[in-house]
Amino acid sequence: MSEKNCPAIEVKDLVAKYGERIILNHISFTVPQGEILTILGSSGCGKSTLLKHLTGLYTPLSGEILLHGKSIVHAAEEEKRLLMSSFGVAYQGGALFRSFTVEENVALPLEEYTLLSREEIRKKVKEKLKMVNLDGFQHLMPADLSGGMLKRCAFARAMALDPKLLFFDEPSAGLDPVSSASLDELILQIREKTGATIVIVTHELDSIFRISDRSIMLDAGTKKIIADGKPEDLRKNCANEEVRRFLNRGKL
Amino acid sequence: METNKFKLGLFVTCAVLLFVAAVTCMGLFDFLNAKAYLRTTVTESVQGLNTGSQVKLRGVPIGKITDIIIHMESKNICLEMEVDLQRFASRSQSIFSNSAISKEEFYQLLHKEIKSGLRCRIEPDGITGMKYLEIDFFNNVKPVSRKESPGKINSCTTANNSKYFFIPSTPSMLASLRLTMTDILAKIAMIDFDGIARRSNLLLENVNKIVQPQKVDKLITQLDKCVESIRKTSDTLTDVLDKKEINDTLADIKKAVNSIAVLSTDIRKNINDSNIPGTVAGLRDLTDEIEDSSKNVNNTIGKLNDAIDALTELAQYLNDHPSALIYGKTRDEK
Amino acid sequence: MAGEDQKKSFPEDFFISVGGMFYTLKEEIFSCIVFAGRVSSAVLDAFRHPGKIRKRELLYFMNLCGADGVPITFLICFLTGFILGYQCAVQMQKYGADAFLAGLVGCAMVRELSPLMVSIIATGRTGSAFAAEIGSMKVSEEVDALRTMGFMPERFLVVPKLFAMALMMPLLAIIGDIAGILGGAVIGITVLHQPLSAYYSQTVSWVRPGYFLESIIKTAVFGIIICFIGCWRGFRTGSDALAVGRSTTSSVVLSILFVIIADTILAHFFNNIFF
Repeated sequence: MSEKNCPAIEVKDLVAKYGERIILNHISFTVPQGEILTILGSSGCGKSTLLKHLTGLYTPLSGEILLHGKSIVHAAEEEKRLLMSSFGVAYQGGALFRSFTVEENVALPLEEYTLLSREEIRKKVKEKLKMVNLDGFQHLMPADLSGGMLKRCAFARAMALDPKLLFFDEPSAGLDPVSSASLDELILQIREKTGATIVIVTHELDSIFRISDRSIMLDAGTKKIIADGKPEDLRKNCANEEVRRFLNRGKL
Repeated sequence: METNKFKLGLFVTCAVLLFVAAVTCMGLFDFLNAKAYLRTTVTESVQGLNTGSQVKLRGVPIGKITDIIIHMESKNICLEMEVDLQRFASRSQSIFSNSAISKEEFYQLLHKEIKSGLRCRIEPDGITGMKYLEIDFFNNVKPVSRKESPGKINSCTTANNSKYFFIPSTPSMLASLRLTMTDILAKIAMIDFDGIARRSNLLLENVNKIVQPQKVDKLITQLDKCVESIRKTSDTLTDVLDKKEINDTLADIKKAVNSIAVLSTDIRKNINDSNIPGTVAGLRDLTDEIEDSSKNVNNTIGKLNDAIDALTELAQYLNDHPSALIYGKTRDEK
Repeated sequence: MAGEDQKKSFPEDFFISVGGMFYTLKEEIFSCIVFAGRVSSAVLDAFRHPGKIRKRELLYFMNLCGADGVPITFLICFLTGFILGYQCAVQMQKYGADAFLAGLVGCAMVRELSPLMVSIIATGRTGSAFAAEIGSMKVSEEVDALRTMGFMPERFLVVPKLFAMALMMPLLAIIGDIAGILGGAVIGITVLHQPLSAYYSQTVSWVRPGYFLESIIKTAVFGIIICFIGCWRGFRTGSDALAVGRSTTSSVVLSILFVIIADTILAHFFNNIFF
């Protein structure tokens, strides 16, 4: 299978443990290229744990995770780092380096992985920041940014190397509805411009319906995927009552 | 995260400069200076002397001890030292006005001075028991002669270190005190007290045999002579040692001598009274007393021996632990 | 878990807690070794590609643990020399050993106290700061972010600090050495009425240049220990709000402990060299 045709993410029979507790029990799913996938679930069902496994931060107990056909589970240290640099991750709190300015944060991957000159890097950073409507804020420190700006800056940093795969951890958590909506818009724009596959962990219903092509839902009890499909369909037709309740804000 | 590069640069420069200045002051670059190498052998213990101890020329530090070697054949200790010629030259104003003196010049100078009595010896440095090596003219102390001539290869030379210049040593003050005491003791021991007593005894026996008035005068003169000789001996002892305890024991001898003198007057009186039998009896007493005094003298010498041994031990202890002087004093105050 | 389960009888409870202690100890030692391995590989990497060392961080930390610490180091070492000189002067004067004050203060400061004081200051100033910095980065997922960007967090977060500490601490120690000697000199001049030149020549005759080398090597080792422990505790920070505080505390305690242990070993080592 060539890299072009293989799915962006392939999870096979993943078992994850956190301490002594099993969090994910034999789950499998595939994400084709260019799709926006949302991972749903009530708090504590292992969404973040799944994301950390997908991004290679945690090593699963058993099972396989392939990103563009390459295993992140069995990769050697150096290989794994290379694989990790090929996708972008935007964390819940932004996780911007607080001792760096906005510009330096976005420029960091460029400085480390490309041979671009300082001027070229500056241009590229400007371009990325423009994409997330942060042009002009280059010299602010992360502490001076608002919540929405932090997230957008984190997006810009995740996209710095033009990755084909992006992970967003709760992008709209803790934001006001307007910022949240504009962030959703931004995610759609990003997909449109870059054609990247995007995996989002969230429980914001508005966002889910607005942006996702497909959703999978994890269950805290069974530690398995209990729903997989278009969020609209799931809301209306899912066999599992739990899923319908979640997508209807607890009402049936 | 901008760095104040000026501050950092200032800090680094200052610290590095301080370091260089400090180690230079402490003498890191002294090894670049010209050195002269000296050696000496000492017969006494070098307790308190370490490698690195100072070598002083009449109290002025000019170098340090570099090695201490035990020479097993002669049981002597061989001390090797190096003299910083630059430091030496900078402190010897009159002879070398310029800042350098070559090794050969220095050796020549030493050679000359050694001929006129320059010696080195171990001296206590303060009260802590530390020592240093002093190079000086010690005219007041009789140098214990060592056969080696200055500058020549000596007993502790090995093949590879002939660069050392030999400088003879003299025992330290306390060591020489010890030697002097031993000498005195030997001299005292040489005085033939037994012989003196025997001779007096013999004399008196003769007198006893041939007590004749015409010979009594001769006898008296001889007795006087004998008394004189004993007194002289006692005086010599007093001169040589005016230690109190020794004086006390010498008083015994004096008493004995006095009693002889008293007896001699008795004899004189008796002869004058022509009381010959009485005189004979008196002479017999005298003989006994002389025998007693001879024993006394022997006793005294034994005591003297003990006293000098104790004194020697004390001297050695003080030599090694000068601070004992202070502890002793403080204990007294309590 | 029912309440009855937690009420365990004495021996069981005791053995469980002892077992737990050893388990934690094993975990900590294991994590320390793993961290040491990661740091050494990052350091090796830095030596192999010196261009990849983050210059900006390096300079920043050099300033932080070097230049910024000069005033406090100078003050503390000066006062240490002063106190040492004062206490000894009082005793030594009784025995007429005044002349040895310079040697005592000089040797003690240069060989032992200045490296130790500098290290203790650095533990408080920089070691704890490192632990807190990395700890809070861990809490805010910045460490994860570095990792998912494909970087070795040790290269970013530990190597510049380690180099800065190993390079700057010795310089601080030299300033401390000089400050301590000056502190002693003040006592020599004021209490014992020695002339400055006499104090100077005494110091110079007692303190050997090798002692400065000892001072430097010691502080460099201590600096590495402090930095290593600070960073290690930082990386071991949990994810709750109190965790950063805990890791800071443990970094300070462990740093001082290990500095003292290292000092014991080094003191023995250097005494074998010098005597």
